[in-house]
Amino acid sequence: MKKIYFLLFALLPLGFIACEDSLEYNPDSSITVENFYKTEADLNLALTGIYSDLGVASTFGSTMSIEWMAGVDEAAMSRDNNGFAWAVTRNEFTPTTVTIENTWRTLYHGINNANTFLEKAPSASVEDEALKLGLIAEARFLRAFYYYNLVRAWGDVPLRTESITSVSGNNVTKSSAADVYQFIIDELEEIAPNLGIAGQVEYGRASQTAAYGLLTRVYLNRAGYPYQILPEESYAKVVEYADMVINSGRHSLMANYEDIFMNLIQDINNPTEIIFDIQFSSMRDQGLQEAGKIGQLNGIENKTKNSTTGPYSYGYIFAGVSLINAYDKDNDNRYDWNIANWKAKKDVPVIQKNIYQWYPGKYKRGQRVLNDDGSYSIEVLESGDKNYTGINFPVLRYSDILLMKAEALNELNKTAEAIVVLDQVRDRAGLEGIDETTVATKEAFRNEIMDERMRELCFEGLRRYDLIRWGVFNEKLQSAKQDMVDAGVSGKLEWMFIWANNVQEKHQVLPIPLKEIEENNLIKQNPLWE
Amino acid sequence: MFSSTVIFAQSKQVSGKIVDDSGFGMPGVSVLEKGTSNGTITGMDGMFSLNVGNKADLIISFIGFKTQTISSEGQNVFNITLEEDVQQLEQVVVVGYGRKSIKDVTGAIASVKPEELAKAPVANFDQALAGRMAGVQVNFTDAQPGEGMNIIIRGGNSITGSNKPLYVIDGIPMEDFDSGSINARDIESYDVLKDASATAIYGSRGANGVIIINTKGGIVGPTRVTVNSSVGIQWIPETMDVMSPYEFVKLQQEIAIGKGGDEPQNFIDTWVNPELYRDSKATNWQDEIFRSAVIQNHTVGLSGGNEKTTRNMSLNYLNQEGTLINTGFEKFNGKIKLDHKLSDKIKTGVNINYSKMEQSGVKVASNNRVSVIMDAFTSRPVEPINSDGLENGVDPDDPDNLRFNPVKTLNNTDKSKRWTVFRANAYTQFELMKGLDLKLTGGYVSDNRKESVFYNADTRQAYKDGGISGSLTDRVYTTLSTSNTLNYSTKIDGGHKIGALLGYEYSVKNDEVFTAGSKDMPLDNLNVHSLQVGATPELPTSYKSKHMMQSYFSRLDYSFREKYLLTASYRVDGSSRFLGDNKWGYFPSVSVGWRMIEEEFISDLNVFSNLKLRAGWGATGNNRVPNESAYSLMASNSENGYVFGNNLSKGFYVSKLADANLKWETTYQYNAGIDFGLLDGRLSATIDVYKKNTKDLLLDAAMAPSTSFKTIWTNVGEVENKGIEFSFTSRNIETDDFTWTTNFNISMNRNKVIELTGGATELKTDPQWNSKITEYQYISEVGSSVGQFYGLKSDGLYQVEDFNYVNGQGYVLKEDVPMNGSSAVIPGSVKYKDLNNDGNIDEKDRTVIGSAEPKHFGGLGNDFTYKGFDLSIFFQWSYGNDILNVNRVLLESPGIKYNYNYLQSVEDRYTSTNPGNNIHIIRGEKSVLGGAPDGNKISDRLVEDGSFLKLKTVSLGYNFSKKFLKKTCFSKARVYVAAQNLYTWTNYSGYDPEVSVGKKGALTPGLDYSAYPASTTVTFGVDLKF
Repeated sequence: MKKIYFLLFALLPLGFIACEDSLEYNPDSSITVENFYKTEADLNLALTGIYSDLGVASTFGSTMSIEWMAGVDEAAMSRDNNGFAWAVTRNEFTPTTVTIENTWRTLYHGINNANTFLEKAPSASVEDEALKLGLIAEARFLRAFYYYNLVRAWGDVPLRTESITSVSGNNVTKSSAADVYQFIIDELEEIAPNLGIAGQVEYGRASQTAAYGLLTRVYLNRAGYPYQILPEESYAKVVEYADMVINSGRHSLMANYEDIFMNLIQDINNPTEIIFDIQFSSMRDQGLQEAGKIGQLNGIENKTKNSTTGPYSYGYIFAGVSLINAYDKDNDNRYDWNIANWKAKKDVPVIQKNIYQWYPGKYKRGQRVLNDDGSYSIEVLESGDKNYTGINFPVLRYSDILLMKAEALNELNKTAEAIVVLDQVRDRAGLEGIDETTVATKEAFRNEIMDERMRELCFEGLRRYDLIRWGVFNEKLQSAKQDMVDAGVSGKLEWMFIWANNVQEKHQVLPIPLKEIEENNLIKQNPLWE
Repeated sequence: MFSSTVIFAQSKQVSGKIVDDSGFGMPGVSVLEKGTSNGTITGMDGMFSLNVGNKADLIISFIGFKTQTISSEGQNVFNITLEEDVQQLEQVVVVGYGRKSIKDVTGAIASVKPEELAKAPVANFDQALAGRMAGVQVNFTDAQPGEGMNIIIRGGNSITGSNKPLYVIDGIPMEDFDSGSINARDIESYDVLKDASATAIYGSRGANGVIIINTKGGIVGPTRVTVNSSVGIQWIPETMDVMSPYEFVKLQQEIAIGKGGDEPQNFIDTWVNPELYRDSKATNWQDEIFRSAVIQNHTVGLSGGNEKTTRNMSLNYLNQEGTLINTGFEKFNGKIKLDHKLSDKIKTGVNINYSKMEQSGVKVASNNRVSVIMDAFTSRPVEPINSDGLENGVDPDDPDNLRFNPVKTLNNTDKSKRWTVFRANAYTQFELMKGLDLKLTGGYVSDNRKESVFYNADTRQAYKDGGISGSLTDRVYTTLSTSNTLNYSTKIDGGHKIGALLGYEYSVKNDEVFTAGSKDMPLDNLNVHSLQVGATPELPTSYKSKHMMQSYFSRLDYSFREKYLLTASYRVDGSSRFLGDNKWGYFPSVSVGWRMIEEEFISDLNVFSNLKLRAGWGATGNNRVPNESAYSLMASNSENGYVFGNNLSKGFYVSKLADANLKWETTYQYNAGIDFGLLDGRLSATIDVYKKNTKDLLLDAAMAPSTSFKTIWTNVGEVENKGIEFSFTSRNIETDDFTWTTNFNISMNRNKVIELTGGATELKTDPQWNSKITEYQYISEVGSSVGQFYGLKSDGLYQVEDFNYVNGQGYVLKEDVPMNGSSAVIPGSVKYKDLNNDGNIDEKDRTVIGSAEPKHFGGLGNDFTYKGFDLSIFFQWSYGNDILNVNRVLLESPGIKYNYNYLQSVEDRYTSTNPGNNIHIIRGEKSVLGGAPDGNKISDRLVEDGSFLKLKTVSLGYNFSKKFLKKTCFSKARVYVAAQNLYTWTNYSGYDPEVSVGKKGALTPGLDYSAYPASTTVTFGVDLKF
């Protein structure tokens, strides 16, 4: 008997050979791509995954919405250091600049996930065919939107319309900006009818009017410098698609300018004026990273120590002197909202004496209010995390549609019609209709539009690209510098407009990231950056 | 057993006791009457008695001891002491799945005497390996207590990042063995299989070489107790010079004047005048964060047994304080090894090892932008006369200032890694017939790790990243394995000796990881074990994965008249890490040997005491990729989702792209060697030459950003390593009182990229030491070695002569002088050579600026004994390797931030009154900064000669004489003093030339950034045996 025990013990090691002799492995913690995209739930998760890239730091979380938008006439920098994130602001960027590579990669991340989605979704089993069509349309809208952000910043870029499946996917040539614009237009025009109706779809989702609004924008960009693709036709399309939005009955101007932004700040879902925006939500207290830096980096400086609830802001950006000068300070109600001549010190608002040290007020986390005793204090508007906010970022607004239409009409020599449209925007701002003699010529009206867009749409991520498409980028940077000099920025403070000192023609287009050049055997650097 | 039934006419009874050199009775010793079969063996107490002829000679023999022949004439009672036969012991080496007489070995195998390792005053045995073996390069990554060493055998073949050898501990192969989980005193043998003919039996995991460690078993005899105990002190040998208070304050003044506006007045308000700081005493932050630290190491061992059962047990405790405050390493180690004979034909045994380790304190080299060591360099050395309200000059509200008081960081960060490794294996060996053995082995390893970090209130993290916070990570790795071999050996008449081995292995390793954390804890005196009180949780994460391997292997050994030797092996491995047919890899090897010493024409020369030629070829593999490398996956994380309206939806995305054709990396290696002995074995030497080609290199290759993926595991090309190794041992002097032995080894390895996939000619790598400096700093070019330094050629600084002075515009660069890549330069800006002459410095001007590959490296040891004294002196060197010292990117590039200190060299920066050519100007006209622009920071200025000669280990011991010990309870007693890293001769300007912290392994060698400096250690200890 004892011997049998011995033998059993001795043979124990052999035991589990028989049990588990397989080398087949299914990853325990993930789902393989092959096993995904099967059900409606899968498609919803994957579609949200495509949306998700809109709201990360390297896209609208901060890089594209804030850092790349300073260093122009509407916004200067408040810091004298060459912090990496601000290389684009300072016109000190190169093909190795980290933020450029990160944003490039993230935009293509959205694109690759959309491509994968679009290849897999048709064979998923979703009962409601119309619903599936809608999901596919949203994915295509997002892909087009990512391409729009690529093409307006980089010009010629690789046009990837198939998912990456192997290492050979590295190699792809650039497509011309014209082709990329055409792709975006074709896609949006095709899918727009399949999208839902604004106000009916979940807030934040792409709607039909979002597609028409984006088409308006895309045609306007395409017609501008440096491509000037079919300008006449394009401007006509701008008017056509602007009218699609205007006539949809879904959107209109809100009565009060500041209400638009109070809604964004306080997460109130109101599609009246917002046609498409980037949704942020302060959920870091739940461990979720859905918040952005809107109002933190580009807010009114408020560095109250030991505050974890805000309203905290590093105040990295000063409002441009040119912007401040462009307002009719007494009558334009946008001025009061957009410009803050104070900052917070230990929770108390303090007036900044120098005009060149005023802050953007558009996404304020706290408002300066007069107390009964005549003193001022700060009323909290948004109190998310210290470093992150839930403030949404506008992409397409109704007033932008109006101004784009006005601009296109003017370019089509219909200045009179344009003035009517422009006046709608002025009217809401509390201004009289424009003195027609000052905008009698096409040229003069264009100049007026340039200023009006700044007054209306400052800090909304448009200025840099507007200046570029008007062909006045360098000119406006230099005039902005002159405005700052006139306001007293000089000598040792020259760093405040270092972006104007540094600017060269190449800075109007971003370089292809060096890593792309290294790993992609078919791509060539943008000619200006070679 | 013998029996002495034949009694001779003239006979007598002899008796006696046979003892070892410490006086213990030795059981089982054979006592034989010469010329007869009459004999006996000693009993448990070492006693014997035997009837022999009157004038008989007795032959006393025991394995591992020198055989003695003693005349019994005129003597009937004997007290015989047997001496260990050191030479004979050396004759056996451990090979894969067995032992072999060194005579029969045809591959390249290096051994280290475990006693040598035990002599060095180090925490883990691998820290004592450097320089001990030819062809085995052992380096610190950095000297954080408890960190494993970087061991590379015969040059890195793999560019995966892991060139770690395979460890085989008591027969169980382990890919990620932790050197802390074994006590150096428990090691019985330490053998390194270097060439493919030796390692191919380990197949898919053998390409990086194999280190076989067997632990001590019990010895038949009464229980012996050993005690080893040592206590020592460690310190860092030198600190680096930073600017003095006076120099620092002058720098602040220069920055303030440069900034203009209110700043110069602010400077005066705070600092008053630099002259007032001339005699200020500096806060030496390096002295503040480093300390003299205690190391202690204690082992108790028990060994003994009878013919049926032997046992060996040991307990070890080690505590090493780190030289950086609040860091350290502590471990307990317990081990039991039992062997039992069930019968004459069946042996069985278990081997259990348990280790409990804790590595505590901040890891300094792991994080890239935040580093306490860098903080110590840059913190201001003096406080201003009128306080500026900043503590140590750090403005906690400045989002760009990631620094914090390094002393506080160290004291208020509770970081620890605690892990327990339980290793058990059991075997049973059957002698199925004479010469045919079946051995079944089962093994289980459980490795549980708890990593925790808790940031108390006074830390940068608490200040900036959401309050007091902590996180806890649980990692559980379990491996279940079986290894089964059938071994046959026989001799056939005519001098043929045949050995054959057949084997089967299967293993499954499970990895599980769980992390939870929370922020905004209300109290400072909480810890990581009360995460629930945090106001802001982090999403918990969990992960599980598995790796399965199945293997079949065989080996044939044949020798003819001990002259001609042949070994051939073949292994087939299957792994779940690959898909389809790529799961299976096939690894053959063959090697031959010719023991020329057996040939008459050699032995007749009377020159050689040994002469053997060896040659071999084999294929081995490498499968060190993550378990899911071949699978494309979907995932989601805390960032992935979108808020529609106010409702969060989770999102999934393609998280990992896989190359479905991923397969083994295979190394084909040729080896030829010669072993010879001269002067009757006083001098013995080995020379090996090898060439190995590694194909289908596994690389976590960078992807183009427009694919959206960062990397993909793929097979990319071919690397060649060839080299020569020479080692000799010389017993220079051997007298009764004095011996002197010299060991020397030197190795040369040349590494070359043969091919990269897709016709690519180069592979550039960013070592990622700083997330904001993303330049390519390494290049692996076809035709050159892997991982050469890559950067710009420095051309000093721009001088006034490089400019035209234009009224109204200031200095304008002359047409023919290149721009340094910034938008504007001024006299004193960093200047580079424009290699492609396009007038601008950019990526195209980068070139190879150095190499971390040493021309040669090795070790030299001298061991002396004089009466009771023993002295070992061991040197280690490396020659011809460069180091990329990127600390200097930050410490020698003055910027316009206040309160940053720099290396002393910055005092000699360019100013209008000191137009030098070394350190750039801070800022000049039009607010232009003098530093190198982002993207152009790495140049040959940072490349330094990393050659060194180290007095690595010195130990001086005294063994008390037997005469003296007789009065005590000890049978052996030695006291010693030992020192490690006593002195380094080097031109390297950083802390220590033994450094390599690049995150991409073989692609980024020789990088120094914020490394934990190596310390000098001196210990005192005793070795006792009862």
